[in-house]
Amino acid sequence: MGEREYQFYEAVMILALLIGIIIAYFIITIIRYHRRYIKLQKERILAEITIQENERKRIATDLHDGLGPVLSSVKLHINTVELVNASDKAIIDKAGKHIDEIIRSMRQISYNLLPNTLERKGLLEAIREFTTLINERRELRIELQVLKGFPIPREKEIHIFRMIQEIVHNTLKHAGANSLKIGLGEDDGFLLILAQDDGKGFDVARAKEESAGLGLKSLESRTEILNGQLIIESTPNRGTEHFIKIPV
Amino acid sequence: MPNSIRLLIADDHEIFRDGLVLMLSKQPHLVLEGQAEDGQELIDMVKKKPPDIVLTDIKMPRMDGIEATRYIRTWFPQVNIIALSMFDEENLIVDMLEAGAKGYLLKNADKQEILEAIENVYQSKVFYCQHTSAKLATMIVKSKFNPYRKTESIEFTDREKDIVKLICLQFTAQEIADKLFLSKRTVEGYRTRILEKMNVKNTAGVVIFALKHGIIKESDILE
Repeated sequence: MGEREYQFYEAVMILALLIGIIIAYFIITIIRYHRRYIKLQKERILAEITIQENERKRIATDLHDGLGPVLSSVKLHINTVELVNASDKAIIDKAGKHIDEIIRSMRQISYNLLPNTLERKGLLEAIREFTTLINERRELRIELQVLKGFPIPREKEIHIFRMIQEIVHNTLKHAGANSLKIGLGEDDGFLLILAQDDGKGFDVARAKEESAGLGLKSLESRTEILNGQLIIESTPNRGTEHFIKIPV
Repeated sequence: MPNSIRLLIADDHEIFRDGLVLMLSKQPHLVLEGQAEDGQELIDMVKKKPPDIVLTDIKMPRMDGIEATRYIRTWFPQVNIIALSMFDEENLIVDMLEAGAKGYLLKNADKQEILEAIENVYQSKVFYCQHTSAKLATMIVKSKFNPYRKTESIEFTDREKDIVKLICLQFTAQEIADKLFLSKRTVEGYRTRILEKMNVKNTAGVVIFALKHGIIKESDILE
């Protein structure tokens, strides 16, 4: 092999190596960028959801502490007026009924924003209360099974509660199901949630593609925040199964 | 003229206290002896001069109504307590009853109901607010709160049991009459007798009594 030929091969080798390094550098940069992007994305979702939850809590508290006492006081005031005239009495009674109606709506709004029970009695009680309320509407029969009591960190409770709420609402809205079984259990440091309905099922992949699956998106985001796993399995006419696994 | 009843009230919202004070002040037989802003202040007032009845809010700063109730019922058992509750505090109502409150009122209760509650609790009877939901009724039944310890077993006829069930399902006297092929007046007669037998004031009392004594099941009213 001549000297020149050797030099040529050496140059080619170096060039190849250089190109290789550059390509590797690019790939690594892209991967790192992508990772950072995912991380930022996750942080953004977390921030968004946290802001939303805080805001909900604030409004619920304002309704409860700000408006509630005033309305009750108004009712006491008008009730105190002593009337002899029957038609005036009827008017006051009617006004009282309207106040009751306002208080009832406030109660509903406040519950939708943040169930008091979750704050005071924790996740399990809140889920029990929620499923009882849904069962009272008699549109869907929810069977709740809690296999074992387990401690769940406070800050995770709200997300888990919202996920279960989301699943129930999706089932009510889309599944046309008669029954929904929800099981909660703990295994080896993981909270397991299994929800099975007997509805008409749906195409999971398509629902994920379409933005229509806003409920699904929220389920996914919250699972991500909790570093959990979400598996949805559905077969047309055979119902839907949600399986969630969350480290606690 | 009934005996005068001495009252203390506790609530952290001045505006609500104002309304309550105004309403109570129009009742000649009720004497309002003081207003507290929280549980601690309430206890201090009770210590100075125990009233007949305390009307107290549940959620308050410094010391809440539950803790204050527990204290007062321990050291001043002659003082009867009525919890005042906002619309979304069903869990807390149960806590208050377990702590020793004899009754509870939603804060939007009518004047008549508030006066009835005071009258009943003054006679050491239990009072359930008529806004009691089916859910709260079942929660009370499951709780440690048990005002019926002394009652000997009360017998109900089958017809009475049928009517109890329908009352628990919130049917009106007319609807019950139609269902059972009775006259409305007969149903009203039955209703009065049932309330007397159970020694309760309203539908909420009937539901809780019926659940507690197995005349109806939780599933009858919730699902």
